[in-house]
Amino acid sequence: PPSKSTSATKRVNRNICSNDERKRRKYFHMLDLLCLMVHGSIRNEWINSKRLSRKLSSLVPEKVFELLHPLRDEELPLRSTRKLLDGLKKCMELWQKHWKITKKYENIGFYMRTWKEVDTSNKNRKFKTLTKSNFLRAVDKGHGDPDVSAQGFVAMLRACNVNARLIMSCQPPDFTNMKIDTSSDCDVAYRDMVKYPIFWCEVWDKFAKKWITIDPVNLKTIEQVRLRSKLAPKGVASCERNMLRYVIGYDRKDGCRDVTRRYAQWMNSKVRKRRITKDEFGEQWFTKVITTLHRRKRTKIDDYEDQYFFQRDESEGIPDSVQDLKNHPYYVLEQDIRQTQVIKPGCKECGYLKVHGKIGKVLKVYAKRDIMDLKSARQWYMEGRILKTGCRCKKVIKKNVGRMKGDVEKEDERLYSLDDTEVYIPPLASGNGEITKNTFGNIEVFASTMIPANCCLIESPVAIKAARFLRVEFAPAVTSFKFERGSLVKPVLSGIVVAKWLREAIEATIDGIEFVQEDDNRKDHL
Amino acid sequence: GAAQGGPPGSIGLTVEDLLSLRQVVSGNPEALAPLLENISARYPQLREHIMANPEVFVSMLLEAVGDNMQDVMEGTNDMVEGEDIESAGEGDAAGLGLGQGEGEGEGEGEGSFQVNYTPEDDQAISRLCELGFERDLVIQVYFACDKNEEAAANILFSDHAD
Repeated sequence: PPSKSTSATKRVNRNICSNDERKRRKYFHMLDLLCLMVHGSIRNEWINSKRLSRKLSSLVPEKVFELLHPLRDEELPLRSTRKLLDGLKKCMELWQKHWKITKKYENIGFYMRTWKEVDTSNKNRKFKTLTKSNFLRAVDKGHGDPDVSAQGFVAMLRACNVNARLIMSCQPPDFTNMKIDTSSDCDVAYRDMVKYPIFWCEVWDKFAKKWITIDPVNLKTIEQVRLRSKLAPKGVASCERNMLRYVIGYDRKDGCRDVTRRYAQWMNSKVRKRRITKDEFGEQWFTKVITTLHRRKRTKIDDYEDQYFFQRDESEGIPDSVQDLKNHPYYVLEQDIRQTQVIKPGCKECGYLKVHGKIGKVLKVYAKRDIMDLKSARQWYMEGRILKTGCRCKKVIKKNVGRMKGDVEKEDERLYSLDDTEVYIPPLASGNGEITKNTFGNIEVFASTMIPANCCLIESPVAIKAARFLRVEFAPAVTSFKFERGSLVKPVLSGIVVAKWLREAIEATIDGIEFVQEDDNRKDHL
Repeated sequence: GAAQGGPPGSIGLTVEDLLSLRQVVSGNPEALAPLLENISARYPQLREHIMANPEVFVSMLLEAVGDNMQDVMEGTNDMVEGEDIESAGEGDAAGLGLGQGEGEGEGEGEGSFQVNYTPEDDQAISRLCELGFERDLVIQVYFACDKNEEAAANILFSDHAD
């Protein structure tokens, strides 16, 4: 049809890729991220090599070693931290002497690729693989690119029995970039690209109960990150190929944690949108990957770190633009509060946002925890809950009831909060197995609590047949609804509810019926 | 050979593909993007696996890693359980002065291919060897298949039968 082709040309003009391409990019982003995280984990194992440790520990003189392990200063713990920082600084200097040749990356190393580069990369080119033994030799000799150098530095600290983490900022291609042609996206000088590191190091400071950040290779800096880190890329040129989204920490006991929060000042308002974790599915996916890579038990240090991350979340505060407030995890604009939501009693706005360009115009911002979701009695029932007696509805909205398009009949709908409801307890089946049914002769089971306590749900397409055959009391079970064309709603009868003592009999009968059906099928085919 | 080996339900990468992927993941960032493109194109079912069960894929990549892969693929490795692999095959490792003959204390972490066998695993591996495959290859494939003997046998027959 011609309309389709015109919309296609429009799309090309707008330089926005198709939906399929968008999905493909998202998938590739996930696959690449997963492999990068595994890479970090493997490198982390390599630098635990005991023989390498022996070699590297000889680089550190006794005096520096003592600084790395200061005694607890009971009077002023800060002095212990000071010593540790001094020790780390000495180590950084030692490392710069040890690392004789810092090679350039062959191409762009672990920095971010554009989609164009992913698609056109030469598949037949032979790449040199760095094997473990070559890696260990390079670290020992002090030759290699900045990544290997940073990894070696972590190895040296671990050799001195310092609790040091290898940190990697993973740079999978940007799935939120939907341009078809991304070739103009990256025109970055090598110097700008490598300004901020991909790999660096963190050391646990047991006196301050905080992680210290060290970049011994690129920026040659040590910092205790409060709100903003020096390692977070700044400037357009440097951000092109280094988009801080997934900063992963690997510790000496094979633990693996997402530490992006430490380095991202605007984690919730800006960075989150570029991460796969921005929706529920992506969040679960990412958790699966990271828990598989995390191969140790939880420690007190994890608790301290979570506490720190929580504080950082709290202090990030309200974003300063309307755009950053869209889908924000903690805040919502007054205008974005849905019709089915209300503000909890006693709560009010937690801040204001000045609208750019309009003097004097301010928007109210609410904390999401002060907002309550409301549902109709029917919706609550679909979750197995009924209204408490005597409760009052929280809000009345107008709802379209027209069955056809253009029908503008409206009806009041009363909405209730969770606190207005309680779990529905269905009546028990009587002694002979008789079950209370609705006016259509069914029982509705939308949640497991909707099955009477002395009954069970048996799901099978032939369950009703089995029960009829046995001539026992039962109720066909409606477990969901199917929405068909023309706003037709059909209940789905996926099985039956029967008294528990009939379960085995029904199941045996179902097996029998299925066997006969299969047998008949086979005969039909002969 | 883009044969899609492996039983249904497994990710179904051929052993060669799995090994080259592991090799690239451990030591070769430049080649990662092209290889992933290539593999995704040849295994369309991979997408669903990565989306639904990334943990399976991660474990597969982690199970056995590193430079010993090459040796296995070329069939030249001297790997015996527990023996040190780092110096095997690679003469230059000795040049490092990283001790020779220091078998002790390398138990955990060092050799990335030290998997804990149970007697059941050992028996399964022996049975697979009796099918006429090299023990080293059998061990690789067996663990790559999450200790599923049947799946390992399938892969061995489809990819390595002479």
